[in-house]
Amino acid sequence: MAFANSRNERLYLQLESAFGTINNSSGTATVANGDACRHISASFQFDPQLLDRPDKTGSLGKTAGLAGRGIGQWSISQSVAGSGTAGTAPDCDPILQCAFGKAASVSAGTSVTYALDDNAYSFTGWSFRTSSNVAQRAAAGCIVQEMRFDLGQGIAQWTARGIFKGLVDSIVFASLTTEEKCGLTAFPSEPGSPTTSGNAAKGYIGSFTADGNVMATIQSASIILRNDDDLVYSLGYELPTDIERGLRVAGVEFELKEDDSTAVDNLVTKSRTKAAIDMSMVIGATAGNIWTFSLNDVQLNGLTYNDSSRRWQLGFGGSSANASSITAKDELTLVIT
Amino acid sequence: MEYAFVGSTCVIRGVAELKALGQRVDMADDLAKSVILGNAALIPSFQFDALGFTADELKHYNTPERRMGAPDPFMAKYRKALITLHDNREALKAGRDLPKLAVVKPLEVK
Repeated sequence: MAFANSRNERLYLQLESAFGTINNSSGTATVANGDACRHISASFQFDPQLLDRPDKTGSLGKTAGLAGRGIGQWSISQSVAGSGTAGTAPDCDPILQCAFGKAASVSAGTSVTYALDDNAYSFTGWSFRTSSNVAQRAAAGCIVQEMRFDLGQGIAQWTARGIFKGLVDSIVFASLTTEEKCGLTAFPSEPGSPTTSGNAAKGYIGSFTADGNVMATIQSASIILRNDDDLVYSLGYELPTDIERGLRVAGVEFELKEDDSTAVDNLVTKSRTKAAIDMSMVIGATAGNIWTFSLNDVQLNGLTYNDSSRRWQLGFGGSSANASSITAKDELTLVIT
Repeated sequence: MEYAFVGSTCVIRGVAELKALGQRVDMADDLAKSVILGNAALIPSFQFDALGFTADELKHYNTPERRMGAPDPFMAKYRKALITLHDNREALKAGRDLPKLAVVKPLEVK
């Protein structure tokens, strides 16, 4: 009997060509070495509903129910790591595309830009573990409901979470229905040479600019992108068949040391007046791994005064960015250079 | 075919750990296609050689940290390497093959 060590897991991400269908060629999965990416943790939980028959039986006892519909929940965290090559997307590109709703725009040798759009994208998350005899899993039809990037700690990290259509699993594969197999005719072996690129960025190397002022006393900051998206069912299907897009909110939370500068006074004033300001956060300093987040028309919210450390700190929580017009999609832009 | 590395770091499990500009790795075409499409910064070594990096440049500017502030002539070559990488990747995405070194046979003199 072999146990499965937690660290002996490799994660692969594939942007799906069609929602909930694992990319395949005549039923054979096309997951490849280049789809691998390093990760801190990946969770794919799938537990179909248990449908109890509501009719009276004439006795007080409960009888066995039926397996019903289910939606999976996933979460992934990784170090913030660009490809290390300017103009080449990071390994986590499929998740970024799904979160932003748009493919990256690449400027050869210079930058990769993620801008917001209304497209509904999904990805397949593969978890291959050692030994190969334990369950190998593929979560099909993953959509991103929240993505969060954190500045301030040793290694910068991001976390994302969302829901997915169905979990294909090597142990139960043979007993799954065609619908549950999500396009596959067999569960694949792991690619032989998983390939990952780039170094992690230091979370304390970067900058934070608010309303044109560089805020050097920033202690921590997070960029958050939330998509109020859901998966929907069609009559005749056990698993979701489509993505419904809802309200998109990009925002920022941050904490800084309070001082008597005009830059800090300005933020306190703007949090009261709700006058919109532009902000940007940069993580990293090495080419191919510099992440610049630009937030448009942020309305500061949730000002708190915190005296739990030696110096007073000001916290601004849950401040949302806004599009510059009803047709613009410029609340948040990410450029990796 | 032989490939040269133009990125920062890249691990191709069981094949190579790439850390330096110009580091060479020999691999099958199918694997090369897969990893280049998957964001590995590799170009065929004959394309790399054609860029004309000097031994000194490859010694002094072989990591991203060392490339910060590198002289313009070197950065111009490095930028061409990245554009070559981009063009190769776009070709692969479009279903074409990576460029191959053309072998020109001498004309037979009868």
